[in-house]
Amino acid sequence: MFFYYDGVNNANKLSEPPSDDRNITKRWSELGKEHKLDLVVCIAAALRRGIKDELLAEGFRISGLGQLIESGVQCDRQIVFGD
Amino acid sequence: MPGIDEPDSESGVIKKFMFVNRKAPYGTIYALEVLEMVLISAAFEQDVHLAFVDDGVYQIKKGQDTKSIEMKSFLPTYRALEGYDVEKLYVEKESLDERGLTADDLVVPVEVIDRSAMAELINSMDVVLSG
Repeated sequence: MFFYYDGVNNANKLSEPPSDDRNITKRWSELGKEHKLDLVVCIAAALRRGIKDELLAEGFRISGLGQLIESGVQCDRQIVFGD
Repeated sequence: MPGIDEPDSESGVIKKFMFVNRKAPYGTIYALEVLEMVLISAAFEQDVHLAFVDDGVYQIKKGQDTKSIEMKSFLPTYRALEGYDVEKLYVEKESLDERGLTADDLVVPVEVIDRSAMAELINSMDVVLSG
């Protein structure tokens, strides 16, 4: 999983939706743990939006855009959700 | 963080990447962040294609002046793409027509193709990323 554009906000552990609403950040962390997903957040997009290492929820890590392109090169399919 | 953005020269796999630009250059960050993906994929020596559709055609329109919005213009970056061997630029004819533009209004040489040809082109790609 690679998080780009505003998608990097998914990694922000400070996000606090109302308790009766879904918590997407928490769900990502849980999904990542359950399926051993590599949850990669683009460093340039993250820094532009104030998402830093210390803000990352469990299971997320920051890396470069090269990770996204490399996955496109190596995977049989690349699927984009959202923008 | 080791190995960031270092091209994987070992694999030698070259795929057809297409970056579809749909948004005006300023007001949202999409155009700039797509451009960042384009530059990285060029560094990975991939077969890079760019498409400009809808308001995305404004990204490469001549005569932009960003001074009054206090943003750095990234128009020169499109001109520099040639130096990264990124030369496959396609613009959708209908998008130009709808905005009263022609290829002469653009800062870089492009191939103007119609909507159905654009759809076919996108369909022929290995990886399509848009913004």
